[in-house]
Amino acid sequence: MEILLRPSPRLRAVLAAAIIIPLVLTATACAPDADSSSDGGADGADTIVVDSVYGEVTVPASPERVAAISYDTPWQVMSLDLPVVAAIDYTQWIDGYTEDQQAYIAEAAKVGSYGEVNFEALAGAAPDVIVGDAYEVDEATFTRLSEIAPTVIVGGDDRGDWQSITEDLATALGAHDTWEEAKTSYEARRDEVKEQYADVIAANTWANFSLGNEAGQFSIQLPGGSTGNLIVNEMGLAYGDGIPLDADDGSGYVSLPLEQIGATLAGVTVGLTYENPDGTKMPAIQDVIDSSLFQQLEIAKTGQVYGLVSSVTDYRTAEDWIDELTTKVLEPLSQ
Amino acid sequence: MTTLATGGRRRLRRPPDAVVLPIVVILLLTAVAVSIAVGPRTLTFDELFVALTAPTGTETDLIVRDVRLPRTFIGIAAGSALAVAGVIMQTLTRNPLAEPGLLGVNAGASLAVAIAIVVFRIGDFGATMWFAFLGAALASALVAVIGGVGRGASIGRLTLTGVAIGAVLSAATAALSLIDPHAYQSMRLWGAGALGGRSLDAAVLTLAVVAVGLVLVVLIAPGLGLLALGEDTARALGGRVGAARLGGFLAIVVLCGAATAAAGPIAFVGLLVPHALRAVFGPDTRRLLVYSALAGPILLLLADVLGALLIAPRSIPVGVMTAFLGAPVLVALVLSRRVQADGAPS
Repeated sequence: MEILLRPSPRLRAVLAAAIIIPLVLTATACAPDADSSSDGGADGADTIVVDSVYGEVTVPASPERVAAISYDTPWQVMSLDLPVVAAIDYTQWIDGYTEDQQAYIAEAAKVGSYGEVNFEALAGAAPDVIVGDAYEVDEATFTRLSEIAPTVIVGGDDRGDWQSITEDLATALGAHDTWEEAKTSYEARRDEVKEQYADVIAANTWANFSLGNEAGQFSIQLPGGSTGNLIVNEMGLAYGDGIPLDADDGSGYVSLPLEQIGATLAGVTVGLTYENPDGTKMPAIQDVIDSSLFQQLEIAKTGQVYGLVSSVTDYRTAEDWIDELTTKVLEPLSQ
Repeated sequence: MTTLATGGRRRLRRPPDAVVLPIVVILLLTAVAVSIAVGPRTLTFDELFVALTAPTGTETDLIVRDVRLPRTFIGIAAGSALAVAGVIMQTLTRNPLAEPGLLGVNAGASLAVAIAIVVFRIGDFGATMWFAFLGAALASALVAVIGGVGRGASIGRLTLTGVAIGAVLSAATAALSLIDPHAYQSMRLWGAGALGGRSLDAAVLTLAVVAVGLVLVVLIAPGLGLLALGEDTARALGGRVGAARLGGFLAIVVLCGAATAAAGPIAFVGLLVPHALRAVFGPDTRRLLVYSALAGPILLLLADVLGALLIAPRSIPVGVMTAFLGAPVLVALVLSRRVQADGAPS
């Protein structure tokens, strides 16, 4: 997840670029080897050795006390059917999460806030493995975390590469079978929807927009972002020609001045954005939609603007997102 | 005023207003034109002319009317307000480092806007502006009461008090924005210091409020001019020191409240513009007030345009640009020894 001090997925694209960019460079340089090595686990050893962004790490083959200290990581661990004993503090934003998610972290120790780990609290939770995201955990932090417990920091090819990120987590946590199962289920659903709504998908040009970095700006989720990855790479929804795909600086989105919204979304026939569980949109997103320049767009005139609630962090939430897309967008458009 | 002795060895001839004022006005009009004409979207002269004179609702018209004009109006209002407020603060405190940011005024306005958003759930610009006024007023009063009265009152104590209170208020603003993620979003977008994202109505309202503040400044300018000579001298010359102080205080609140509510906290304008102008025009307060009202917008508008173009299609907030531009210029002024402790050129 990509948000500074704000866990909602609808902001993920816009908040942490200043922090992210240097870390992206580090993560890219140290991307984990896809082929994690192991000296045990499967054959009954107590530990295994896995690759991570910051090198090889020896971890328990069957960890029982997992601490997930990055923003998206608890939900990614949740998708592997493993409990967490520690996570950052989500109290302020807990209403934005599903009941299942709330129950999942209810008993977990709170060990800091976004981007700021409380090491003392984390040590108190006595984890046997710590997992996190390279976009939030730099090498210095990794070193300090490693003094508490074996620490696996994952990164993927880019910020929105939840496929690789969750696979690396699954490998590190000995839950590859569960990950494979979720992946298989997701892929079946994805292919089913793509086939069922092939006409709708092919007949439209898409974009996923949100609030910008500054007042008077808007942002576009690029294929390097979590949702953009799902939209473009997985679902094959074609982005409009005006969207600057080459503008991705590693943050997975691009923030542009509002006066460019006409050129950027030219030809786009379906606009996707984020909304709250109660159906409202964040004020800054609503400001973009209410602007006179947005109202000039084809998607505004035809009413083809859809807000989705689901946040994509792993195969299970990606499947949820596809379900929501199907119900809210593809099905109505196919009528 | 045309000359000033400098170190007893050389005399600088101050440029006459009849020559300089038209030039500065032309520069301001040029900055306004550049601000409207230059942006991420290239517009032809014809498109601009039509958009300004006979708009028909095309995309170009909307860009000019709903994006660039409000941005430019906010730049004019905020630039003028902050620069003039800087002159008044430096005059009242006889402190060359005094500016809205240093004496806690911006921090007070920011905290009040945060309270409006977090506690009262107010997002309307007009309403937040009143909160900004209130915050600026309370912060100014607090700094004045704690740092400016009683035994041991001094310019240094006033400045330190302003810095301390400003830090506390800024911390409170940060804490408030962390409590509520939606407020954090609003505050984040506002707190960077930017001219964009306001409606034309909000921009016109800001201009109107700043105009009221400037009228107040015109009324108290003679008193401020006397105060610049020192309180005793001002009294000896028949100046109404108390009225000038009160008027100056009110003007600062109105100007900084409007500017901060509209554009967020923007640093350095209130510091850089008066000092740069002093280096050219000398210490005459009334002259400084006039030229600051014109030069502040020039700086802010050009900084905004530069910020929009430097790393296009991304942009740099104008608050960051003024710091980038202002800090080196200010250091250069200090190193050139043209700024003395009382804010006058040497």
